[in-house]
Amino acid sequence: MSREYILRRFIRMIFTLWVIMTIIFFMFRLIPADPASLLIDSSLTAEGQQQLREFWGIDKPVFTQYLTYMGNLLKLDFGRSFFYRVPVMEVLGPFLRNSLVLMVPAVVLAIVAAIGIGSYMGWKRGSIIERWGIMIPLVLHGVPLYWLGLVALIIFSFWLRWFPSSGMRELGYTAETVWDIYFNIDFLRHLILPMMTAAIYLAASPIMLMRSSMIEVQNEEFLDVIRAKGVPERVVVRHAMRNALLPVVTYLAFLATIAVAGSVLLETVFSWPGIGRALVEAVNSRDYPLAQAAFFMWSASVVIMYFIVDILYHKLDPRISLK
Amino acid sequence: MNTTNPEGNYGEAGRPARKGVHASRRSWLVMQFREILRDGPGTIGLIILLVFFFIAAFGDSLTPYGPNDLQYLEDGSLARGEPPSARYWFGTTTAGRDVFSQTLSGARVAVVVGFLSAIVTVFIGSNVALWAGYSGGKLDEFLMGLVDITYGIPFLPFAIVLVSLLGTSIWNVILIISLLFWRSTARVIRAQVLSLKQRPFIWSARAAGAKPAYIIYRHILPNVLPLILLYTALAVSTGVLTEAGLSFLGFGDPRFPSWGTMLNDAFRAGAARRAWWWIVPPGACIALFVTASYMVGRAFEASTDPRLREYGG
Amino acid sequence: MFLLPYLRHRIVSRRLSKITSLILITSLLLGTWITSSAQEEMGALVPPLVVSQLAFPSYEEWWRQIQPELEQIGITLDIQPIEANTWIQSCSIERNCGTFTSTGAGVTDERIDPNWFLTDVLHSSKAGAGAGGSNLANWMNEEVDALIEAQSIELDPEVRKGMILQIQEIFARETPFIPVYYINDVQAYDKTKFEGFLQRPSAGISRFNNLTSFLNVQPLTDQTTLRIENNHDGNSTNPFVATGGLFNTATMTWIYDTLARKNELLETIPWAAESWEWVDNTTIDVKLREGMTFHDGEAVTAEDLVFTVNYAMENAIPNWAGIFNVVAGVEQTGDYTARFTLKNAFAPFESNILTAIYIVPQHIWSEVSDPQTFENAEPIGSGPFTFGHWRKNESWLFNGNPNHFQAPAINILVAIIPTPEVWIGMLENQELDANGTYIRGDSQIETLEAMEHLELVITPSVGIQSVYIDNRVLPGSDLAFRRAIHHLIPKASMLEVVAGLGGGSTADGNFMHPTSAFFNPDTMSYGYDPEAARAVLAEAGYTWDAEGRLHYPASYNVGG
Repeated sequence: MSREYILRRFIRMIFTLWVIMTIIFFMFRLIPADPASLLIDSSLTAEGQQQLREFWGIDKPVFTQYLTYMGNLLKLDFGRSFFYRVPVMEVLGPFLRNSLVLMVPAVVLAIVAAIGIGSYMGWKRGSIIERWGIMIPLVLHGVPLYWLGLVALIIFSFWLRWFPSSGMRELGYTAETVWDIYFNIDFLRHLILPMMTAAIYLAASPIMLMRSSMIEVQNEEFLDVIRAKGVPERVVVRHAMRNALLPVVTYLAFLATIAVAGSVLLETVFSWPGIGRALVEAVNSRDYPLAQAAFFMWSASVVIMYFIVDILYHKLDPRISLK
Repeated sequence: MNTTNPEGNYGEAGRPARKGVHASRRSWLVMQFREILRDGPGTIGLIILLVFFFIAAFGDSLTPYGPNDLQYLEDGSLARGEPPSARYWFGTTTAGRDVFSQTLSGARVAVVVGFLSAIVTVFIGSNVALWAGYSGGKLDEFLMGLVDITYGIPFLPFAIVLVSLLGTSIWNVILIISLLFWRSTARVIRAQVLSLKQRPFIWSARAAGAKPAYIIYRHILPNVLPLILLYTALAVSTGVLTEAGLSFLGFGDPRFPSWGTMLNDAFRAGAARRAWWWIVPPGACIALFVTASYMVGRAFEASTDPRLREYGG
Repeated sequence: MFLLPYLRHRIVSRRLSKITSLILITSLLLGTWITSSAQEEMGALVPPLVVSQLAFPSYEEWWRQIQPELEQIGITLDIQPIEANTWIQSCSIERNCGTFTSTGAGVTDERIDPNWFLTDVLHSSKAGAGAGGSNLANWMNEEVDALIEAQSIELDPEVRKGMILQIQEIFARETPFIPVYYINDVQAYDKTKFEGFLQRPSAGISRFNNLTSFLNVQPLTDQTTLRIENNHDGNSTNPFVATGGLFNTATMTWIYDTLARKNELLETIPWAAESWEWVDNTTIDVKLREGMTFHDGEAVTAEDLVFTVNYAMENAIPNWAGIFNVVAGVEQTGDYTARFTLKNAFAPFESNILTAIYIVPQHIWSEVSDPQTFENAEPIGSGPFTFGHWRKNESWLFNGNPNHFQAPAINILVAIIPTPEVWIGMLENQELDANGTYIRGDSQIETLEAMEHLELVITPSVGIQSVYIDNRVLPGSDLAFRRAIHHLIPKASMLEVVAGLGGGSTADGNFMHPTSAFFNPDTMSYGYDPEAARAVLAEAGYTWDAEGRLHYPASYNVGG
C-alpha cells in the first residue's frame, strides 16, 4: 500500500498545517489593536511606539511579515514573544510540558475507563444498570467543563480539604530539575483534581462509543463460533472487546481536539500554568509570536494525531480497501 | 460530542426498508417521530426540549420579574444574595436580581444559539458531505481538506480572536460555532454517502440521466436524513456548551442573559459557595438542555441503526 | 418561529388580511402625514446613541441601569460591549467610542499629583484620534488648556492650587464628562499570621505599589513568607521592559530602589536619594544615601545613577518617555551627588519624576548592549527585596534584603490565580495570607468576613470612574444635553450595586477627590433628577414626539 498512501497523507497534513498557520497569521493582523499601543502605557511617545514596532518587525508590510513568518516557521523559529520579550520557545516549553503532564494521563485514564465501562454497558445492555447508568456519562458531558471543575474544587478542596486548590505545586516549593517538579507527592496531590475532572469529562463520549461498538460486535457471528468452542464467557467478552476497540482508537484523535479545547478552561479554573491558558492570554495581549506558536503546537498535535489514526485505521481494519 | 464512529460504520444498516422513502415522505417523518417516542429517554428528552422551547417563546410573560430588574426588600434595601424563598424561588444574585427570572430568560439564548448554530452547522456539514461524497475526485479532496483544517484549529482561542475582531455579540458566537463545527457532521455523513453511492437505486437514477443535484437531494438526502437529524441534535448541545464556555471566559454577550453569562457573573462575583442557588440553576439547565438533545439524538441514532436499539425493539 | 403565525394567518383568512392591509395602509398614510407636519416644528430625531461599553462587569452594570433612565426621556441607546483590548484600540486610541463610553482612571504613583489627570484627561492636545492620552470626551477648552499649562510649570504651591481650583469650576460648569463614583477597595489578610499592614488610598493594604505597607508587616508565627495573590502575570524581570501591569512595574521598584517614593499618605519621601535641592527652576541637585549596596555587594554611587539615566536615554527606553519629556540630562557632581537639568520647569517633578527614576548597577548593565532583549533572569538591584524566582503563570518570590536601609521582616510570594473563586477559597484554607487585587461584591466580602482568621480592610480610592461623552459632535457637543444626561445618571444606585458592602462615594460635578489638597468644594452640583433633566432639555428647545422620543431643537443643524 501503503507507502504511497502514507506519503500522500503526509503531504496533505503539511498542507493543512500551512493553511491553518496562514489563517492564524492573517487573523491576528486583522484584529483591531496594535500590540505597541497595548503593552505600553499611554505616556509613550509616537516615536517610542514606532521604535517598538520596528523592534517587533510589525512596521513592515503585512505580506513581507508573512514571508518572514513562514520562513521562520520552516526552521521552527517562532521569534520573540512581544509580551515576555524572550524567545517564544523558552516560554512555551515549560507551559507545554505542564499541559501534557496534565492532559495525557487524563486522556489515557478516560480511554481506559471508557473501554471498561463502555464494554460492560454494551454487554449488559437492557439491564437496569445500563439503562440508567448510561445517563451518568450523558449528564456529565452535558455539564460545562468549568462548572464541573469549580464544583469539584469547592467540594474536594474547599469543603473537604482533600486536595490543594490551585497550581501544580506547593507555593514556594523550589525544584532544581525537571524531575523534581513532576516526580513527587506534592505534585501528585495537585494533579489529581484537575486530572480527574478532565478524565471524567473526556470519558463520556468514548464510553458511549464503546458501548455502541460493543452492541454491534455482539451480534457478529464469530462470537457464536467462539462460544461454541465452550470457552468461558469472560474470554468471549475479551474477544468482543478487542473487536469493538477499533472505533474507540480512531476516536482518540477527536478526543485530542476536545482535550485541547478543554485545557483552556481547565487550566484557568485550576490555575495550572499550561499552554491553553498561555494561549488565551497571548491572544488577549496581542502577543502574536507567542499565540501563533501556541496555535501551531495545538494544531500540529491534533493534525498529527489524525494522521497517525488514519494510518492506524488503515492498518487495523482489513475491510477498508486502499486505492 | 460524537457518539458515532467518525468514519461511520452504518454500512449495511437496514437500508432496504427505506427505499420507498420518497414516495411518502410525510409518513416517514411521522415514523421517525414514533421511533423517538418508542425510545424512553428519547421521549423524555423531547419533552424537556419542548418545555425549554415553550419557556423561550413565552419566557417574558412567565418570569415574575425582569431578568435585569433590581429587586428591593420591604425595608427598601437591595435584595442581595437572598436565598430561595416564596418571593424569589431561586433566590437573588448578589447584585440583587432574581435568579429564577434570569434562568427562564436564559432559555431563549440557549434555544436561539443552540438551534440556529445547529441548523447552520448541519446545513453546511451535510451539504459538504453530500457533494463531496457523491462527486468524489477533486471536489471531495478539496472539501475534505477543509474539514481537516477545521479540525486542526483550536476552537476556544480561535473564538477569542474572532470575538476580538468582530465584537462580543451573540450572533458572532453563532457565526464562530458555525464556522468550525460543521466538521463532524461532514465527516460522518460523507462516509454514509460513500456507501449509499454504490447502491443500485442510485445507479439506476444515474443511468436514467438524472442530474447530480437531483440525485443528491432526491435520492441520497432522504437516506441520510436520520443521521442529519442525529447530528442536528448533537450540534444543538455543542452550541449551548460552547456559548457557555465563551461566556465563562468573558466573551459572552452581556446584553442577553444566558446561562453561561449567569455562571460567569456568579464566578466572577466569587459567589459560588455562598450563593449556591445562583450557580446550580444555570448549570443544571445547561446539563438538562444538553442531555435532552443528546437523548433525542440517540433516539434518532437508534432508529437509524436497529442494532443499537436497546429496549428490545 | 416568529414568522409562523403570520404565515398561517395569511393562508387561513384572506378576508382578514384584506382588512388588515387596509388598516395598515391607512395608518401608514396617517403616520407620514403626522410626522411630516410635525417635522415643521420639531428638529431632527435624536438617533439611537452608540455606547462603547468596555466588557467589564461593573460597566455592564452601569449601562444596565443607565439605559432605562435615558429611555424614559426618549433617548435610545445602542450598547455595544467591546472586549478590553479592542476597546483600547477603537475607543481610547482611535476615539471611535460613539456618543458614550465609560472607564476609570487607575491610580498609579505618577497619577497622584493632579498634573497627570489635567494634562492627560482634560487637555485639548489629548483630544481626537491618535492624540494619545485619555481625553476620551475630546473636550477642548482654551481657557482650561492655558490653566493646565500654567499650573504645570508653576512652582509656587498656592498659586498652582488656585489655578487647579479654577479648572474644576469650569469643568463642573461645562460637564464635558460625568464623574460617577470612587469605589472603595476591600482587602483581607490573615491576622493570625501577620500584622502591621498600612492603608494607602487607592492601594489598600496590600496592592503592590503600597511598598510602605509591606516594609511594615511583621510575621506573628514562624512563617515569614507572606503569600499573596495577583490575577495576572508580569512580563519581565528586566526593569526597562517590565510593563506587565501595575504588579510588574511596582514590584520592579522593590528590587530596584527609586530616588524617592510615595508613602502611605501619598507624600513623596526620600528613598535612594537622601535629599534634593532646587538650584533654580530647571536645575536640581540630588544627594544619594551613602552606604547602600546592590544585592551582589557592590556599592551604589552617583555613577550608577548617571549611568542609568544616560543608558535609558541612549537606548530610548519606551518606559522612560514620560521622564525624558521633562529631564534634559544629568551629570555627576560627586561620589553621591548628581545634578539634573530639566527641559522646563515642572511642578510635579518630585512627585512624578523622582519617584520614577530607579538605579541599575553599572557593572552589570554596561555590558548589556540591547536592554530591549536582555532577559535579566537574575535581577540585581539595591532595593528592599531581592529576587527569588519567577515561574511564569505560577508565582514570583521576593526575599527580604537584610542589608537594606529599611530591611523588611518578611519575604513575599506572589501566586498568579486567575479565578476569584479560587483565591477566596485559598484565603479560607490558609493557602494564601493576603490578596493583592481587590475583593468586589457582597458575596466575596461576606464570605471572607465570616472567616475568623481574616481581617477585612476597606480603603477609599481616589480613582474616579466616569461616563464619557464625545464632545466633538451632537448631541455630546451640546451643553444642555450633557447637563441633562448628568442629571439622569443614577450614581448612588450604580455604586450600591457594584460596590456592595465595600461601599464608596459618589462624585458630584467635580473630578477631584474630596480628600485631595486641591479639591474645590464650590463647584456646580448635579443631583440625580429626571425632572431637572427634562427641564434643561425643554429650555434648550428640545421636544418630544407623540411616542415620547427626543428631538433636537429645530434650530440645530444636524447635517453631519
